[in-house]
Amino acid sequence: MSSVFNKIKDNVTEGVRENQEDAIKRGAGAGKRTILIWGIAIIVLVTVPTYAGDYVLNVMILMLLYMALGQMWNLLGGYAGLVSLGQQSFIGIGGYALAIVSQKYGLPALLAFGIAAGVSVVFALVISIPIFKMQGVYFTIGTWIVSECLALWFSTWAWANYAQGYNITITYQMTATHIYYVALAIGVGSLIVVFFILRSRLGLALMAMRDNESAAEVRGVELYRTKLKCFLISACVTGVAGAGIYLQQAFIQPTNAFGISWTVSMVFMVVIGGLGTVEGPIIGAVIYVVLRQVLYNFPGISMVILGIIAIAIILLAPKGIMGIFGRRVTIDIFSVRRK
Amino acid sequence: MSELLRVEDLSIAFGNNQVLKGLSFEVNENEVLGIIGPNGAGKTVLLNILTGILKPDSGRIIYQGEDIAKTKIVERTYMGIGRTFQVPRSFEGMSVYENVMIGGVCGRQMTEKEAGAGADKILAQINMADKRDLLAGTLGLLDRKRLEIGVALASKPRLLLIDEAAGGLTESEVVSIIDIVRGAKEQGVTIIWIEHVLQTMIEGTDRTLCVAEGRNVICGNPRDVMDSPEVHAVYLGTEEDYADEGAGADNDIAKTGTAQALPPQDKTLLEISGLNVLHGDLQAIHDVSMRIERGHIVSIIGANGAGKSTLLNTVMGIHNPAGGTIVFEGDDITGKRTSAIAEKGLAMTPEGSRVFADMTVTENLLMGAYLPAAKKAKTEQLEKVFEMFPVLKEKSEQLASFLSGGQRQMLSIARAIMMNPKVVICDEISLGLAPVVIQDIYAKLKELNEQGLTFILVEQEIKRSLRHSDYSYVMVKGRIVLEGKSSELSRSDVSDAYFGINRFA
Ligand SMILES: Nc1ncnc2c1ncn2[C@@H]1O[C@H](COP(=O)(O)OP(=O)(O)OP(=O)(O)O)[C@@H](O)[C@H]1O
Ligand SMILES: [Mg+2]
Repeated sequence: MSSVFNKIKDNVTEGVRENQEDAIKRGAGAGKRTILIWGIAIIVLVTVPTYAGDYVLNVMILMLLYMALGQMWNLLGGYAGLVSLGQQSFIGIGGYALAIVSQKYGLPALLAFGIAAGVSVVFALVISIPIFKMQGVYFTIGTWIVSECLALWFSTWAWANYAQGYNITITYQMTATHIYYVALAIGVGSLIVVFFILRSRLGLALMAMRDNESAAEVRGVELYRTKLKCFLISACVTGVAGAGIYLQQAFIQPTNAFGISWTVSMVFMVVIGGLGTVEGPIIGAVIYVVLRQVLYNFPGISMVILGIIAIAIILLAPKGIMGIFGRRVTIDIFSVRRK
Repeated sequence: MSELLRVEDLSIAFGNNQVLKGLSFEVNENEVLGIIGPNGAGKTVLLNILTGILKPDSGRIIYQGEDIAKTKIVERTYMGIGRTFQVPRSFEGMSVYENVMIGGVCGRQMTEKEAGAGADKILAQINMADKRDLLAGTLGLLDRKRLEIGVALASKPRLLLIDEAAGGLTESEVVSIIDIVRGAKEQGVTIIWIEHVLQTMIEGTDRTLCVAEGRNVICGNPRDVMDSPEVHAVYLGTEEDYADEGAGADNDIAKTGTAQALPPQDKTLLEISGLNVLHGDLQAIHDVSMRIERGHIVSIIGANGAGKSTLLNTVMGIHNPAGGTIVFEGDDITGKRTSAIAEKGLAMTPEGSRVFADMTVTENLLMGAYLPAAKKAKTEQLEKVFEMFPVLKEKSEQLASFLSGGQRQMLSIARAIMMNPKVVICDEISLGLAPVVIQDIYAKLKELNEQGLTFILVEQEIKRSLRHSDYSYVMVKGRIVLEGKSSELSRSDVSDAYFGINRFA
């Protein structure tokens, strides 16, 4: 088990290394074009509701929220060397924060987002005490177990309405456009968070840790504190995105909210998009959401097909889609390189 | 002079392997202390203890007058203890520049701006300014070793611990490393420098300490230490490689290659003609042609970056050539898969002694014998390599990651021999080995050679290389600039060949 895990980790680091290499090469073409692309992207994204129908809007909402989830998983798995299978804990916490605040107590939804962020961070801080004592594959399994425990607990917890969960009715008072702007704020917010982390001193330490943890420690990186920061930031944004997701879904229930399929989709997006890059989760989210819409009509085998696609991409393009693009496209929109 | 570091009675054991047995020494402020000692003497272990990676079983470490036994790894860095790693641990996904920045930003809490400015100065100091934006993962072993020094210097250490920086370098490159260390000393840094390249100890250190069997054998003026009989007994051995400088090629050893006995068409084992290799836009190998005769020991001499590893990797099918052919025993093997080439009987010890770290020594060796031909003879072969490297037998059940640097190098040579090949290609054969072991290895190679095995060696010591080979090639910037029977080349021919090209380049 542990050797398989190491192998995966080796592939992962190899992929990261190559992606970074391309990032350096691409760096040269940045500049004015970057600003132009950003400008166009923002205008397009902000004006989508004026010309797109509800179906497109709903798909876009999913893409933005999943992208935020992917970014946060990438921060842990792609940079901090923390392979988590328990990010669904925070999605569930976020979703339940929304349900309980708006449904049970009838308070404004905006408050729910703040509570989702806060509770996620506190919860992450508490569970970090035991699970940060675990290394490698034990950490991975530890995070998963925490989520499973949450699912059980919420199913038997009166305050959270047992396994029945909640209908979140404020959704019906909102239009798709409202929800879209919420999702846009979360998606863009997550990007900004990641970008600033990577450009900061924390980012430098993170990249060093990703490449060689023990050497990073000797060079003066405090491993525990750096990992903890990432874990908390990731929990916070994932919690907020979780609230966003359940604002759209309008129905929450423990087995779904704390189910591992959330993290599976995060891993899928990040791996096919390109691990250890900022662009990877964006591409991954777009592809994942489109695929899911297409595969909606084949419920029984949709997971099988997704799995086959993931394996094919890993075999054909071990660095993810960004890896293929990286070599040909000379625009680096999210350069986190130091020059 | 005031004392910066004192080590008292340090002991550590791994299982029943008592590595350090009461080692004591001290280092004064702004001094360069050299450390030599056999492979596995515990030199790297000592640095790991000083930086807090390992905990000693007993003994004290007094740094700046303070016992640092309980100080954590990062805090020791903040206190000004910096180090390099013998097996480089660069941050592969980051550029050279970013690697150096880490030292300042993480080790000294500088802002990125300060660290960046400092990094550029350090890159100039270690002669890597031209590689600034390359990814560290793409660098060759020797560049990575130099980068280690840069990263350590960036954290502005008070005490710099260097674990073998000069292995595998040519003489002029060794001089440049000595200059780097002297430069650091001038800036007020105190240095502990572990090295097997004796020139660095003699020219670069104030005092040299010889460690063997976990104890301080002798410590004092470098020349006195090298001359002492104790050091000869445990470390230098008997061969006079180091005694008489400039004596030229004394080919006292008569060559009795098996080649003469064979008909001429069978004499050529490996023929490389008109080989060109590109790394991206950069041409690493220009029109190289070589003929390796059966039963010969052929050496390739050349500076860091001359293209030796690229050449050997191309022969092994790891790189694809842009032009030219490689013919082995009459078969064209150009561009074939590495596994197919290995099956034909070419074995290579990779640069940097890469071993399977999570496998035991025996398992590593058996990995060498995976080909059907080798599998049959594996017990026999195992005995042969154990006899060649007794220390590997001692450690046969240990994980390879616990071997010392020199022991890893031995393992990687032994693994190549396990393949029962026709040609063994050794990249940087003597890198990181104690002189006495180098002599041993050459004696063993000669034995194997007499049984008919052909060798291609990359060796930096010109004299040693000429003395032990039948034929030599000198490479400069991807071209062969000189070749000839080793007995007819002299050391000055070879160094002229270097300079000749350098003048025009
Ligand atoms: N973590 C470990 N576990 C078990 N044994 C170890 C460990 N680290 C080192 N050793 C053993 O301790 C001995 C000393 O190793 P060390 O790396 O210090 O040698 P060295 O003096 O640096 O040799 P070299 O010149 O070859 O680098 C070796 O026999 C090695 O196998
Ligand atoms: Mg060592």
